[in-house]
This record gives sequence, C-alpha cells and structure tokens, in this order.
Amino acid sequence: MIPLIEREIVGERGWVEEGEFLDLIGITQSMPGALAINISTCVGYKVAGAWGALSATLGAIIPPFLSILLAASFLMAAKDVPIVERAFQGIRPAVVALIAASVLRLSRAAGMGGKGAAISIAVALIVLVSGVHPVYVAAIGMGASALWAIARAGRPERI
Amino acid sequence: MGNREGREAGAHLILLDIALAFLLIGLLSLGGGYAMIPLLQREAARFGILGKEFCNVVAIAEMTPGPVGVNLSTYTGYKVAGVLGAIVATASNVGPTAALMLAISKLFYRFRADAHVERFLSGFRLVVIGLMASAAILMAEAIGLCSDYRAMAIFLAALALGYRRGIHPIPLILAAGAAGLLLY
Repeated sequence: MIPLIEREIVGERGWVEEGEFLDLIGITQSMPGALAINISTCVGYKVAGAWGALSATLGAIIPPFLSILLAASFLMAAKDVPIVERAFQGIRPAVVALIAASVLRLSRAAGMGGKGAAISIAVALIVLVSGVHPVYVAAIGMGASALWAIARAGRPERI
Repeated sequence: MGNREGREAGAHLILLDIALAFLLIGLLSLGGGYAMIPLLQREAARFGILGKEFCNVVAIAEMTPGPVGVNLSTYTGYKVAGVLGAIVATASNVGPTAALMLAISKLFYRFRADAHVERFLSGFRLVVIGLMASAAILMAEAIGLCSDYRAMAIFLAALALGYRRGIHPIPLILAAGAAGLLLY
C-alpha cells in the first residue's frame, strides 16, 4: 500500500516531498493504528489544516468501510452454501500461514537474538496458557518497553 | 470489560461496549499490519465471532481494500449491531489514533529522530511478535490444523509462498480457496 500512497501524494500531487514522506512513514510506524489511515490524517492536516485531516481520514476509511459491509453481508448469507464452505476450508489454513509468515518476517526484521526470542515466546505463552486478555498484555508490554527505553538511554542497542 | 449485562440492557449499551472495546484496541495496536489481530481475536470472540468464523473474517478483511485491523473492526461491529455498530466500531477504532497522530505530527521531526522512541519500538516489537504468534496458534487450534493433513499441506504451501517468495496475500487466498474446492 505504501508505494501506492507515495505515488499519489509525492508524485502526482506533490503534497509532500520525498524525504518528508520517509519521515512520515517513520512517525506513523511509531504510532498506534493503521499506517495508511495515519498517513492520510497527517497529509490532510499538512495540506488543509484540521478540516483537511478530517476529510483525508474519512476518505481513507469510507471505501473500505463500504466494501467490508458488502463482503460481510455476502459472508453471512453464503456461509452455509456448501461450495463456499469448501473454499473457506482451504482458505483458513492459508490465513494462519499469512500470520505465521508475518511473525517470521517481523522477527527477522527485528534481528531477533536469544533474549528477544525468549521475550516473544514468554508473551505468547502468557496469552496461551494463562488466558490473560491480549489487550492487557499489550498495555503492560507498552509500559515495560517505555521503562526499558528510558533505563537503557545512552547505552548501546542490543536485543 | 466483561460487559455481558450490556447486551441485555439495551442497544445503546451494546454500542457503548463496542466503542470502548475498539477504542482500546486502536490505541494499543502498534506495529502495523497484523498487530491488531491478537487484540481483536478475543474481543471478536466476546461478540460471538469464534474460531473458524474469525479465520473467515480475517480472509475477507485481507481481500477487501483498507487496513486488515480496521476492516475486522467494521465487520465485528456490523455483525453485533448492524450498520450503526459498524460505524461505531470503525470510528472508535480509528478516531482516537487519528487525533493522537495529529497531536504528535506537530512534533514530527524531533519525535522521529528520538533514540528513546526507537528503543521503545524495538522493545514493543517483541511483544507484538509474541502476541501475533499466540493468535496464529489459537487459530490453528480452532481449525484443527494439526489433525487435518490437507489443511496442513495448504498451510505449509502458503507459508512457503508467503514468507519465502513474498507472494501477495490476495492471490494466495484465492489459490487456497481453489485448493479447498479441489481437496474437500
């Protein structure tokens, strides 16, 4: 999706410059929420202030919103049709594979070592074994990461 | 958040329940792409989207335009409380993060270069990876992946194509659907 956004707002419209776009990607990656929508909000604000931000955000949300409503009503109506269920029987393992692939890709990108892997595995086990809500795990993880970042200030990076 | 009474008490309470759930999920999902899935998994289950259906919905969210996490929120809201539910779920999922984004974008460049932020992200990324792994394992369990050799074959093929070859999710899901029609 990023190349598509880049072509539109850097190339076609010239709303932001190349270097600024990279900064924008950097900051949206450090923020919660969906990347594409965060970028839209930011660019909208830059081009036309608060109203620009609002309309850019709505513009990024409404088309997927409508298409998911369509898809949802299809899925709810067709879920008991045998041929649809057979296709989904093939699709479900692929969906799990997509998430697993994403876990592998993120681990590689993080340059994960033994200590990092131990943390990730511990997090997974906490959710799987104790049944703690992932939302709480994420909240605690955020707090712990923040404390860790402050405590390690000035020391060399190592995970 | 165990607000079961809410659903019985009235429609506006269901909407409030949806709003709070997706607001939290939006604010806590950091790391892009699938980072929202583990947080959504449990909430979707609370709203009655379980096991196999959750997998189906992830596939649908992946194939429709827009971010997967937001699409999943929209779907869940729609299923629980119709179009109004979809609007509330989407708005509470996206609104606060967009507002936060705006507030931060004023500090823009300083924020980006900050070493604390980089370090924070590298730490939190480990949490996201663990959460995503747990979501994948729960989904594998729900669809009986390990007890069905055909599903296992599709899983391994999709993993190899998606991770090693970097094949895009949409053709991958279409191919898996075709494989499902052939094998089942």
